[in-house]
Amino acid sequence: MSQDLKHHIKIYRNVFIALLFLTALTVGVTYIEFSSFGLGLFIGLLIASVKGYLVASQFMHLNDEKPFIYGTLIFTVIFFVVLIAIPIMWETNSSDIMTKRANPFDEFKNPIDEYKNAKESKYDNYDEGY
Amino acid sequence: MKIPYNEDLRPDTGLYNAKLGIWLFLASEVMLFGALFSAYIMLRTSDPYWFDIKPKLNIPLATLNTVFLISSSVPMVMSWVSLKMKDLSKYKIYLSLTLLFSFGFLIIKYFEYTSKFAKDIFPATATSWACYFTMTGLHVIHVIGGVVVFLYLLGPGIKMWNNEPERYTNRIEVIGLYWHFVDLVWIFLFPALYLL
Repeated sequence: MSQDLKHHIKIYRNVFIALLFLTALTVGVTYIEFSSFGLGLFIGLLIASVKGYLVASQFMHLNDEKPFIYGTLIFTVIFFVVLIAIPIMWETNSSDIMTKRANPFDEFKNPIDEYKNAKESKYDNYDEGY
Repeated sequence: MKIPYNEDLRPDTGLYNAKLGIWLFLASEVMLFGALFSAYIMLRTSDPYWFDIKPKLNIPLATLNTVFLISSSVPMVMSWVSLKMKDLSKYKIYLSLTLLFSFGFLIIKYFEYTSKFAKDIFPATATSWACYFTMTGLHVIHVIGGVVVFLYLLGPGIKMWNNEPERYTNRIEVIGLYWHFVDLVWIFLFPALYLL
């Protein structure tokens, strides 16, 4: 038992160092200019997920837990994925409405640009309701 | 009358009751914070006029807060290990360290919030600020909840160690699981609100 605990102490120390390193990395990658916002988002969340895994598996001992807890948590995982999927699916469905595209293959029209173009070219008093 | 399965493991679950209880509670907490994250993604991605609060947030202070929470998790788990090794004095030192780091987190959060209020920034200022205050506010309430339990366990609650050491050790394991979850939530809140 004592030997087992001593082994765990070593793991806790290593996880602590890894978490500090990954925190520095999380802050560091925000200063990098990625080719797209989505890539930056993906990398940021990937690092957070690794940190989350380390905390859950080592500090919360989920890597060596009773089957009953896994059975309970599997439902949590499923419902959590559904919760996060809802806004992503909603965004995908509504993107055509947001960009006013009749079909997704049409040229992208940004509503803010449309507003600016209309303001500059067509109407002198667009803001006042012309 | 002795409450059953406070120390012994239930034959059907293989767990003592408090441990099953805290995991069910944490499962509900995942859904609570999950709903807020879900709402945050929806609000942020669907709003073409989203106000970017990142330049107005103090990232070095928030990073220090992340370090505080991570650093508090290590003495938390070590306090449980100390009790398993029957070393009460080490346990007190480790749990006091956890308490110290959590106070550090709360003090920094106080300065963060007051600096925003001084600049007339409130939840009603913009949707992005509403998300920031709601999510970090709920997290701070959880940190305060943890601090209250730490103070109880180090204060009047420590008497249990004399009569029921096994049950007291289990209590530390349970609050430890809660505290690591609070740490886990911050690990995702920090990049979502401050960095992305």
